[in-house]
Amino acid sequence: MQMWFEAIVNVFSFSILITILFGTIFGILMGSLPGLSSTMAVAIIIPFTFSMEPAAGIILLSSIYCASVFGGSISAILLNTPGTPAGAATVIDGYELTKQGKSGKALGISAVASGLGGVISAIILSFTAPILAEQALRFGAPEYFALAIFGISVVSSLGGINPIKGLIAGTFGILIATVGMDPIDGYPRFTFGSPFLATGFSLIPVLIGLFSASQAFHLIKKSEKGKETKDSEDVKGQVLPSIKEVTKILPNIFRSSIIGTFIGIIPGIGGDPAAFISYNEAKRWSKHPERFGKGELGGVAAPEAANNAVTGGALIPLLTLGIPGNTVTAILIGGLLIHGLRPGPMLFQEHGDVVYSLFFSLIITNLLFLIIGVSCAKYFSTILKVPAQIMGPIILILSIVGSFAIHNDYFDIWVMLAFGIIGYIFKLINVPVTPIVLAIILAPIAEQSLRQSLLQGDNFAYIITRPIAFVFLLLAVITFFTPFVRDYLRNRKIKSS
Amino acid sequence: MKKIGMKSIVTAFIMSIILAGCGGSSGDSASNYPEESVKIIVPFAAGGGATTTARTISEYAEDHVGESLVIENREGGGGSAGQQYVASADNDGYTLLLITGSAVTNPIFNKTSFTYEDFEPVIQLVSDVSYLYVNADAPYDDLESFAEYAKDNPGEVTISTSGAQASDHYAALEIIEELGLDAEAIPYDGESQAIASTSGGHDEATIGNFAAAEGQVQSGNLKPLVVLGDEQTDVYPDVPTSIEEGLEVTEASWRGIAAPKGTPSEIIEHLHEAFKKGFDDEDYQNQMSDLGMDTEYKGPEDFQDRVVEYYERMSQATE
Repeated sequence: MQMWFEAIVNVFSFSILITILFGTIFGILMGSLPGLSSTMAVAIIIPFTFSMEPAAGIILLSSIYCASVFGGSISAILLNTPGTPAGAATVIDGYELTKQGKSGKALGISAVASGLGGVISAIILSFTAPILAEQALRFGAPEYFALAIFGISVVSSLGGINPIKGLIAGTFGILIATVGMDPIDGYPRFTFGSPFLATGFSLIPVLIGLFSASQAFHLIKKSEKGKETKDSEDVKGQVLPSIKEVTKILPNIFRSSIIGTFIGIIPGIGGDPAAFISYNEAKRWSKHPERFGKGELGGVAAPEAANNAVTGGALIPLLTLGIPGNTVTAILIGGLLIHGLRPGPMLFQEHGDVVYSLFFSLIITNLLFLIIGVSCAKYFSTILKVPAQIMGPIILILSIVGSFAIHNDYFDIWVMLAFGIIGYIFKLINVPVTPIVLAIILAPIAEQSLRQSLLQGDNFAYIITRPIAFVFLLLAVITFFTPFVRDYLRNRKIKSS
Repeated sequence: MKKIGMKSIVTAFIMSIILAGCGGSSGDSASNYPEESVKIIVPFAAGGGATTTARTISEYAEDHVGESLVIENREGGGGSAGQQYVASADNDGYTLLLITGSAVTNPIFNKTSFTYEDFEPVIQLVSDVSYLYVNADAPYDDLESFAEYAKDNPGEVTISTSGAQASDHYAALEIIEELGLDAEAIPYDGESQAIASTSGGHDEATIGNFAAAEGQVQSGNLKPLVVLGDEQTDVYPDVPTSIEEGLEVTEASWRGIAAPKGTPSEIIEHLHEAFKKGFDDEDYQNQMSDLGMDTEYKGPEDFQDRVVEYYERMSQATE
């Protein structure tokens, strides 16, 4: 309890509140622009948190994360284009409401649902994470190995329709991760004698390249073609939802938040499936399922509550075990490490103050964008009018400055640009970049813990016979092969018909 | 289309000017040192005693140095990646190393392109004695019964250490050899992981210092078996020393600040004075003792002697 009081005192300082406010506004802006994802918004700001206090830095990053997920619904509702992938399900009823001239109401509901979803998941996070952190000591090397493999196994389902594409990207990521010194003997691999590569590729320049620079290249290319993005309509109708409307969708919001939080905990899945699953559940539970898809408020509330609830859920494995749940949390690890905060069971003991301040600030952030969302919705359409030819260069320059700022190394800029080009090419040929990141983060954990396990137990049976490790490895096998089985079944169906 | 291109260029141009304005100008003469922020490379993963040492002294020495001190973790290869980085950095005083015993041992055990002679010691800050901790639920309470247990269960006992080439890893190997055990030393990525693993019962023992392990002792997951030194400590008055127990293994991690070889002596002197002032700050001493770290000052020459002495001891250990 004392931790909570300290956290409240910390968070209610002027500098932290300003940080949260800035993060929230920046997050809404970045999230609302189509093509600029939450991952990118967080990656680009990390280098600027370097000189901040640890708590302030991590609070800034997480408030950007939460607010950008809400921001994604703005363009989904007004433009029929989700600002972040997690906003895809919001398009269905959100844009329908816009066509009916009720865009204000849709934005209002989205703000309320997102805010409440985020708050609910932040509360679940703050009560379960400390308990889970105590249990985290049960995780020895074999369990970390199994969990890392489980996380990596998701790559096959990230390839969209084609699991092979996810696999290609994942393998590429594992190869990148082998560069640098090996974790047990310290033998340098693929460094070509370069001291810059002795520690492997720096994570953050790689991430900025893959997510930010590649997107900047796309935007610049788009503006070259002279293809203007379609103009947003002005926000119409009343924004503030009535008490009656809110109470009607409260059960829906609550259910979707729980779904979102739990999906967030599972490594690798993320916001978009959570939003779709909650949308379908809301439809199934509704007394009027036929109204979904025709401008139903519940159809906006469900995916928005769910995708914001994912934020709290994804932080659970990150903070307790150091295993990221999705790309944004993978980047957050980088943000924690530069402040000397190593996620894992010891984090709660050594830096409880930071962790609890983070929990409390998440609640504040979610309430803050709820308020901003409801009160400023009228101006959101203006954001969407920023042309691509302005956004592209700004993002590119921020990417360059950001990569340099981390180590003050020119080499990192080249790394960032190289991975920007790789990300750009991958997007052109429709190969997802998320598996690369998952593999870069998880492969070293898998390698080191496998070798530690084999020192502890001499053979692979030692790992398999440990229950937690066995369950995760089994889940990994199922997760990995499901898309292939699904593919096979679908092909057979097509053939037989 | 032309118009659009112009807009892009103009935006880029404006942004570059704004951002360029944020950076300062740089000079290269030693007399003006320092003119920009000074980096201290910690060659280990964040979260251990080395990082804490660097962060704490920076807080108190920063004002005396005159520019901000930036701590950067560059882990990998048991410290050699970060040490390599500093050894090959410009010797202009803007890149420093949080130097530990591993900067001496890595070149002995690996083909590194640097040796301990590539660093100029600036100041020693800490000399932290280590303990042999075991899981609190273990059936043994002293070194003798631990050794007995290990002999009765050959191949079962593992000792977690903070890294493959860290000095605690060699201490673990020395303990195994001295006691004649059939046991393994397992390197982790930093001491907090090593301690967590033994606290969770995945390894039987770990070597760590008070600051890093006390949290787990308080939570009832670890218990100290022996002090790896020749003097008993105030923090664990009941715990015997390894020397008393007839185990000729001592382990104290000394930490300090070093600069790349060839750094101008005025810069070394400036840094030494600044860090010394930070070291003498009463608040610094109190904070370090709260953290459970034993501060011990040595100036550039004395520190150099200690490094050389350590080199001699460790190079003999490998023969």
